[in-house]
Amino acid sequence: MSPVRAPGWRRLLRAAASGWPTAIAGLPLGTAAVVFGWRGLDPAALLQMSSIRSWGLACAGLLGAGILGALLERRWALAMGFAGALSLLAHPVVDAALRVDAELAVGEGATTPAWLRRQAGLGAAIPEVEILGVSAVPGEVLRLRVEGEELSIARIGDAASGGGATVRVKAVHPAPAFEIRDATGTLLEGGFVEVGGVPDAYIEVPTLPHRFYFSEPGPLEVARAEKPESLRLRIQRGKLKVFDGPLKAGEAARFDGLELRWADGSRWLQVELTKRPRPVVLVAAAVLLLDALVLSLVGRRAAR
Amino acid sequence: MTRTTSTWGLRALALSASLGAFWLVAFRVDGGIARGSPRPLGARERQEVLATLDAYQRIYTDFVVTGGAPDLIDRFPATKAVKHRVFREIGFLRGAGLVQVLDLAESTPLRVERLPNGQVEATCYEEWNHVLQRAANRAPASSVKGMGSGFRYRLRREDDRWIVVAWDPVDVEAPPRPTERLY
Repeated sequence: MSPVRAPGWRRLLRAAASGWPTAIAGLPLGTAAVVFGWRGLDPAALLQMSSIRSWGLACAGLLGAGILGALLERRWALAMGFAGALSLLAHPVVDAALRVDAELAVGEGATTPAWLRRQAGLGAAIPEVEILGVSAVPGEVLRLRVEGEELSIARIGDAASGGGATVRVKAVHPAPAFEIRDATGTLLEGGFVEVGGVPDAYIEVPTLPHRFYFSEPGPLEVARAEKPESLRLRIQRGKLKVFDGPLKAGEAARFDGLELRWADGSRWLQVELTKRPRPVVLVAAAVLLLDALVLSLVGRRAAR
Repeated sequence: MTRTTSTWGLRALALSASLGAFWLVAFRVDGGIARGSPRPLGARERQEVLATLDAYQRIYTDFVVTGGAPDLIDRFPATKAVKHRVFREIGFLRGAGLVQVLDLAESTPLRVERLPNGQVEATCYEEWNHVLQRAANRAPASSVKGMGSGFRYRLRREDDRWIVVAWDPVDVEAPPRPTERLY
């Protein structure tokens, strides 16, 4: 004999189909949705809460039992209503599992991006991104391929969708070329440094213990693409600040018997990439709940 | 009538119990997320963090002043990456035949708070006196200077103690000095 057919199980499923156990487990989730929604808390963070997880699992289990109980009693509208409520409960979980939030740094001339931030849900994969062209000049700022689909963004601040993702150019920042030479003029280190975008960002070079904190002297403007006249540079060796101040292009910052100069090198784009799943589960929930309502009204009219 | 009343009473009781238990767990276990900010740092934890930073500064000073004597390396409350950074700094000076003599005159904690990832961030304003000496004979190679700067430390709990994970200089206002004469 199957356990579902056992009288004890049948009684339990019938009790679940009454809706009260689900209401008892579901009411706190409803109040949490209102309270946390009102306070604008991130739904992904809420799913980390033990309370939400425990009550959500209990509620899902009871809704599943409710569906079985309603099917046993041939109450189709009720079964559909429980299925709709279960889909509604599953929507934020599916949404969090399939979303991607990332930020990329794309240098002029680069073909592969550097990821500044990558957050993907359990069931989501970071899309493959290939850079086809970068320019700081408005007209065609960024051309890229996301999951094989080619996208083009004309202006800073604009977004384009494709490959299941939305890509937006947040800002253009300078990426000056720098050189560090010793007292004899011998080149010790050189390269590009991506300035701006990330607060407290610094670079280190392999042969020196210093940290070089470059920043733009003024506040960041989203739609700016012009070259900066000067940068703020702070050079730190251990506890000691060995240089701190604005530094114009071509000027030397002297520190610990060495000197650093920068020149206009290149620019980099700060690009936001987001992936949001289509609200299929939410639509399914709405359809099921509506069907349940219609079926229930039709059933009542027929019973009269 | 009595049975109906008791059934509704039981249902109301179960609803209230579920609601109460949920919000109790939400605030006791998930307090940080529920409040939208991490659990505040207790007075004892704050004290532990500040004591760790004090030990960090004393042992750091010892490393630098001795030109890298590693005797206290196991007691230095820092990650391997931070220790490596300290010894790179000492090695750079040693390569130039120099030793840095440092003295922490004053450290004022400005803010100590827990981060959402469970680490603690402490911002201090520190005043250091420093002079360079020649390693060979300890003769001064620079004049004695003083500097004040803000520093932001990140610490995490590991093996029942706090350790410094990272630190950066930070722009902060110097805290006001006491106006009364202390002598």
